[in-house]
Amino acid sequence: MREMEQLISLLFPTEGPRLVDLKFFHGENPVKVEEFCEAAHAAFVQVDSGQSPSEAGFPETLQPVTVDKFLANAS
Amino acid sequence: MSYQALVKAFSNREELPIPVDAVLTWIRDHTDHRDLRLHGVGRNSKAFRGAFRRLGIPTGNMYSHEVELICQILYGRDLEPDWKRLVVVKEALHVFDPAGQQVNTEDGVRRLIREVITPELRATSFAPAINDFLGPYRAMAVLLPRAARRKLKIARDEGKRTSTEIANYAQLPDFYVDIWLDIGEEAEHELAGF
Repeated sequence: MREMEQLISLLFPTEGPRLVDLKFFHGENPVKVEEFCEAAHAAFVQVDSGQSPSEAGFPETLQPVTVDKFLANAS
Repeated sequence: MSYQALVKAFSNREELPIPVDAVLTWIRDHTDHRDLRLHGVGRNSKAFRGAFRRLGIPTGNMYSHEVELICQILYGRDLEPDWKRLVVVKEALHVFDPAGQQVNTEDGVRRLIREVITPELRATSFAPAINDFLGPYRAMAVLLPRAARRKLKIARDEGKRTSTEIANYAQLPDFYVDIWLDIGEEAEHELAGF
């Protein structure tokens, strides 16, 4: 299974950073192992190559409202 | 500090949506995991919505085995904002995963992937996979915290608000909001222990 071995090679380089933990949030579509590995490999390549730059935060434009106010507007 | 402490810290919040940065800031301020890096990634397929990779970088001191920890949080750039929020927090919470629930071997990666893509195997005994499946609910305990959840559940059960309206208000996926309103009381106790 070429895609799996490609992903394993990326995650376990012979030199440099050591993998301490790995997790995934499952996707919308059912996929086969090869497809999953290809997608995961592509994502980590984006990270490692700098194509997906690192960000420290998650900027959002939110307008927080209290639950009481939200519920009061319902009636 | 622990995941339990995080859930407790947010439990009385009644102002929604909870900003994702508020959760990231709490983790940085109260744990050793200060280096959290977010990466929006392009997705060719919808195989997965997000990922968490924790790396140990050798410090370069040849006489010690010390490493610096970097936590990378990947999320699909194409996801809707409510899904991005849940995915980022779910992945960030993996900083709390104990050693027995971490995946750091080739065999572990192979097994995790098999179990992530086969929901019918959710009766698995593989601890990291169980952890992954519960991840979204661990995030819901923070993003739709106890005090708010209790009031919103009553409103939904009495027909004053639908779960879709509550999901829009909390900026979270409808699917998880509906489930969390039903199971949150019991699940929070199981997941966070209080």
